[in-house]
Amino acid sequence: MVTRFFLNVILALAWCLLQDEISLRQMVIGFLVGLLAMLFFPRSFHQERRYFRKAALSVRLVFFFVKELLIANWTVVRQVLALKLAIRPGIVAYPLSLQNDVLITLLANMITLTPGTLSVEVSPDRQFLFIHFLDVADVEEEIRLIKDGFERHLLLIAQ
Amino acid sequence: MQVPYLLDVLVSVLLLLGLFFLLTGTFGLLRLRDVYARMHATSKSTTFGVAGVVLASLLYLRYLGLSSGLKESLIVLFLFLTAPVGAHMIARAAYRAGVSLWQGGVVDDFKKWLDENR
Repeated sequence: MVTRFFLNVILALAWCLLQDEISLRQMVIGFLVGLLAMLFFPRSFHQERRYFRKAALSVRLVFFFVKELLIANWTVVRQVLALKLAIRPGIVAYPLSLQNDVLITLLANMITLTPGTLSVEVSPDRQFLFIHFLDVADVEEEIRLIKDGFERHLLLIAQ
Repeated sequence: MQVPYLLDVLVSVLLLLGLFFLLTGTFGLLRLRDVYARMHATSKSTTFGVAGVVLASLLYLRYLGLSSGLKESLIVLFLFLTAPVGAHMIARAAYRAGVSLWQGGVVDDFKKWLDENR
């Protein structure tokens, strides 16, 4: 799962700190050394199906997230600076497909970091994520955008 | 110490961009009507704004050899880790404390769900 990839990234970062140099070169070396170190641990410790595929998907998710961040930031700046305040805020119940706690946390945090959306609460049965929107144009459309965006990426990683 | 022209421009652009986002965040805080909407303006623009300023400082100080840039990277990292958690907790606490949404809002599925499950 994602946690293994994060562990590897953390190991790479630790390597960079040890070298007192954060650069792409040291990151790559650290990543490889970390991977090697993980191989020496008992299988149960880093057991992971299709590890490399998931690592690649995680990297893709990071790029997707940065893209979304830039677009959404621009939208919110426009809404705040518009001459006439034309927003329709509201809290929408978003039906979750994910069942994994770590991935739901990740999804909720990404939604909060993306301007214009803010996760308020997760229902205890993991059925809904309640999201506050700065501007709800169309409830169905907003839900679809997250489903096809962040959640689709996370579901691929969860498989 | 003399700094190359290109670096000067890059650092200035990053600073201005960061300050623009911070200013927009403050403006939104004053302009928007309820806690929830205000969280959007502050928590997000601030993340971007601070990231811009810190990045500018990283580039400048690294060039001058005064810093390796590790601390700045850690600031950005922790900012992106803590900002969403803080915003989420404030919004959640506000809702639980009974802070109502601005009347111009259109939907409140959360209230519906709470009513059904009580």
